Amino acid sequence: MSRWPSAIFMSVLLSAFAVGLAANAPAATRIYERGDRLAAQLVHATSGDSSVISFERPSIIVLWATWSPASLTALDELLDGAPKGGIRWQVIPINVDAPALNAADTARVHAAARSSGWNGPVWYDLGYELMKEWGVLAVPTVTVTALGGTIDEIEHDWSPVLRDRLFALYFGALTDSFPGFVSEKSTDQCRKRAMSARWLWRIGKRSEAVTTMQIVADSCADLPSDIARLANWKWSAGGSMRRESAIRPLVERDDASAWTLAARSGWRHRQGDRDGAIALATQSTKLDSAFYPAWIQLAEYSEAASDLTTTLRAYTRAAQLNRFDGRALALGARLAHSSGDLAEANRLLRLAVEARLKDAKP
Amino acid sequence: MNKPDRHASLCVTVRAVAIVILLGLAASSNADAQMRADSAIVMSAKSLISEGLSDSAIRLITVALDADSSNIMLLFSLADAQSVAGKKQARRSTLERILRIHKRSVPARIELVEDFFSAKQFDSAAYFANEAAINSGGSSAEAYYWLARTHERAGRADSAYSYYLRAWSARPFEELF
Repeated sequence: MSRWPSAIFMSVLLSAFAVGLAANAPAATRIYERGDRLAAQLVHATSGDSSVISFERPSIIVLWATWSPASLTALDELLDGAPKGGIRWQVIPINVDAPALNAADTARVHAAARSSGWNGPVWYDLGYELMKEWGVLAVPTVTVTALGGTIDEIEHDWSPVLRDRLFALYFGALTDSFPGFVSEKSTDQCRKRAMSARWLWRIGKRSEAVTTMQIVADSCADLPSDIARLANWKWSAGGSMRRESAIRPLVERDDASAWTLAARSGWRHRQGDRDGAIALATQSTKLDSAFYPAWIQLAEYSEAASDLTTTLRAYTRAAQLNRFDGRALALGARLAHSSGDLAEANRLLRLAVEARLKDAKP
Repeated sequence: MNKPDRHASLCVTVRAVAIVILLGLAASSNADAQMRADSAIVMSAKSLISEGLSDSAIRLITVALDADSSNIMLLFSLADAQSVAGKKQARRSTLERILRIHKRSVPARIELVEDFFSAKQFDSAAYFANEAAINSGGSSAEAYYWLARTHERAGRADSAYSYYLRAWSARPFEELF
């Protein structure tokens, strides 16, 4: 590919960049990590304008440079993948070719940004102020933030494996190299969609999972039975009666997968058997410790049973698995309120309501 | 095609579409056709706004409103265009015009709340949020959300929490399973 210069040339440039940045870096630079919160940030556009990045939406900030092929690939792929996400991601590319861009730099940076599909203002890090503040020394750096700017991921690299993991976690878009597909040994479109729907459900993106699974239900009649059953959960279209009749085959199945146990747990809970529901949700989390719906079930049912220890444990795990889901945020708010931290309760509940209001918008 | 050419071309196209729509609208009394024509005008206005031509969008909608001055869809579209164009006072007048036509309009009140809140006029924001909550019969999550925001801003954390809870429960969610 013409945009990929030689490795030696790249190494020299990267070294020069790192040395230059290190020389410019203040003595006590803080290095941001997962869980830290980014403040609103002033960025400069090549047009001479400036903007303030605020984190009113989940955001992905990509620090990129024309001399870093990996960062250009990251930019291409993130700009392509973000619009397919279940929630509206804000991708913020910030160029770090140089601390100040001359006319030739600007033309080169513009051309690269446009060829990656970026049509907005081309932002760059004037004087490397932002990199110094964030303690970043690598290009690319990809930072994923939740609503409000809390860092959920910060990666100083870009690879197909990382891409697939981030896409699966945040966009719900899977590719052939995602491990789930390798184990399925199939590139069949129906199976891909079904797997994608299952993954979306796992991380709590229910409406997107339903939409995807509905496509499977409409077009893939010959899938294995468990996936076919999932496909028949026409949650979005059906009322409670329809849901019960759709879920009954799964509840009555003679197996003990995390999915089946969680479905039985919900069934028991609706029948008023809280202890049974908690026991089944617990079993589900033991079978699959990354199955978000079971953790949130366990947290909510334990909260109703006034079991604060289990509620806290389950909530903590659920929030680790999906920081964007309103249910986990609302539960966190109630826990903060019960411990007397009203400011934190209001903060979490505000984010929960905002997430729900955004979901409801067309 | 470079950007100015695209803009010019888009403007010509949009104007042509608008003239055809308005002629069609004048010739037809069919409500469905009118609704389609209104939707087409709104879509054209959105295209203009997305191209940075919000003043053209305002002119387009204003012409359409001359033929149907109480059209709520067009009035909301006008308010959107005025917002993008930074015409705050005109936007407020448009929203108040909507309220004169639809006295119980919750969306118009919510938009006023957002404007007042971003202008740091918190008392006015709280007033319209309260009105929106009343007019929605207690079902507007947005109204309670903005009431919570104004109370939180005023340091009334307890009542803010209550309003956030009401906002949260105003939109019921289904079971995960």
